[in-house]
Amino acid sequence: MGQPDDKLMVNATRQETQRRAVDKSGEIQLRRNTIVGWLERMNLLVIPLILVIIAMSLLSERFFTQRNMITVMRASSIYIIVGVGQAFLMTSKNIDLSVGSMMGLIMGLVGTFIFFGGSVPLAILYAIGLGLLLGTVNGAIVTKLGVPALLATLGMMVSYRGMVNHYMYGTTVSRFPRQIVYLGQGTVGPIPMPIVIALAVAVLGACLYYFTRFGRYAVAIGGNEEAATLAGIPVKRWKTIFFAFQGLLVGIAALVFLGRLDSTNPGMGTGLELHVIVGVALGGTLLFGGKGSIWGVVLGMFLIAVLTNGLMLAGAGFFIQNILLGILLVGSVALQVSREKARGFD
Amino acid sequence: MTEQQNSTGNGIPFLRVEDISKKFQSVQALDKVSLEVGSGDLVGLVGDNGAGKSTLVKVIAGVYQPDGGTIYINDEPVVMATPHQAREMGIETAYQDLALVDHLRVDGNLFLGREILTGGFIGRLLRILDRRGMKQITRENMKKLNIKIPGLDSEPVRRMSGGQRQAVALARSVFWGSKLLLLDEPTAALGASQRREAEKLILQIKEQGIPIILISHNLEHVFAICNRIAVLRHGRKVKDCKKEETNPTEIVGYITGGVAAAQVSRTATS
Repeated sequence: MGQPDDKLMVNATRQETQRRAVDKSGEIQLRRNTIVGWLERMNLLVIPLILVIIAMSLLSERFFTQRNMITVMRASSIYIIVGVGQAFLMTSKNIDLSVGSMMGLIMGLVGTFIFFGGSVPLAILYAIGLGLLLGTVNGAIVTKLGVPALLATLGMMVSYRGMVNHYMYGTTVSRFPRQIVYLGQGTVGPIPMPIVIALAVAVLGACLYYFTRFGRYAVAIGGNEEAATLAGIPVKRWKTIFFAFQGLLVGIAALVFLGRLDSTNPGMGTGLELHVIVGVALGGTLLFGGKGSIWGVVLGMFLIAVLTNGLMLAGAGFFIQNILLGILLVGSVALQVSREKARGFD
Repeated sequence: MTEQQNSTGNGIPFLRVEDISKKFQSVQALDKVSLEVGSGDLVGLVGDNGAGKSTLVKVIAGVYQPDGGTIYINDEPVVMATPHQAREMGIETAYQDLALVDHLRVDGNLFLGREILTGGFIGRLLRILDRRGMKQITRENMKKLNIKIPGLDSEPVRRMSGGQRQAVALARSVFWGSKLLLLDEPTAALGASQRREAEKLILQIKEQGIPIILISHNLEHVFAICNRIAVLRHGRKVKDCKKEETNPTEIVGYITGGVAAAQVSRTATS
């Protein structure tokens, strides 16, 4: 073949170097089926969890008892229920900051409904329907109006809280029928209902995430939205579905929390969003989208619950919890960033 | 090459564009460009930066709407308002940036947006993916195309090299039964050995009778695999001939405008 023109060659070479140099070796490291690979997918969460449990056991002898462990799990169950929805959203490069206010609003409306004699089955439908509705509203604001999820749900966070405050005006309603209380305080054998419900949600969420289009499209949309659009996936519709699903789970969590406290006031769920996002991020779901883990959500929430419970038993003040949450969020995201960089992706 | 019945031969070419023009503000990106592509064609579309190569390909792929001219598919005039419509007519494009989802495996990318579902009625309701089936078909398809990638079943494509990712993108286009393949700089990001693998794959696709339009800056590459070469300069087609009828020096002349203007206008009207 003849000599190509110099200018053209230079051109091609420049383009070559401009691209990300992924194909240096041409080889792939097969590490998915190793222990390291498994730990990595869990965002290395298992080791810190074990270390924290050992450390806490040494700090307080009341920590590693069956009763306390059940307390810890029950404390994390609400966060797990909401976190499963958040994992789908974050995988698809979205986020919902309004979950705390939404839960407060649903608890306020449904709690008042039962307080004034509403039937239990209707109350359950009411809570779930409200969740779906509010989630769909969030999704519509993001997809129809094009407001970025962070700002859209920040706005709704303020609005939903305003709504429940306006509706209840500082009152507290309590003393619900025993069926509702059972959802939060009952047990199945030795296991408290909140844990049963949280595990059921986690198992269902994991099946949806790994075995259905639901999870597949969350990954596709979060990983490369343009490619998903080019492949003919109705991206906006799926985003709305993810928001609606998050709303549905908030509705379920609201019912459990109503039963657990047997009471509600307009301040319920304040700060829930931060706790949920920290746990999901700790569990290995990327805040930049494209990758997530439902089991990581369970582990992440458990780690936070173990830490706060242990610190409390060790005599640390209540506000230490918030200091810790903030640091954990920043730390886990920093870890995600550094690991993404280490793999050669920006 | 025996089946070198290109567009000027017998039968109707799959794609014919006639007098396509496209203007971006004051820049005339395409000026009455005509091109025919049929079975057995592997057309190398060359030209300097800004000559209109990518614009032409994007018009054919339905990304841009031409200001003037007509697109014919099997001699029927068509309007392709979206990339989706172009795809439904069998025109698949492999873009420079590949349009793969990094976090999905090969099968996930191959079936992206067209996943196979399983589990009967309930499965369709819940959109349960036939993961095993899709993996199986992916394996068979990659074997048929003679593409070997370690970790085909288990690794997300982000762990793969540029060459392997390119192979996945090409395999996807072929798998979905494309009738015309548009390749925009398919090998620019690849190293030498990977480029040869990709070239082999492109030739293999051509052997299956799928016409291909290939944009490239690399003349060596174009002369190695294409059987026809079309040159664009300042939005006009200045040369379109079989590979055997020309040589790299002449093509460079057409690209840079070094060939006498009289000669250019003569070939442009042919």
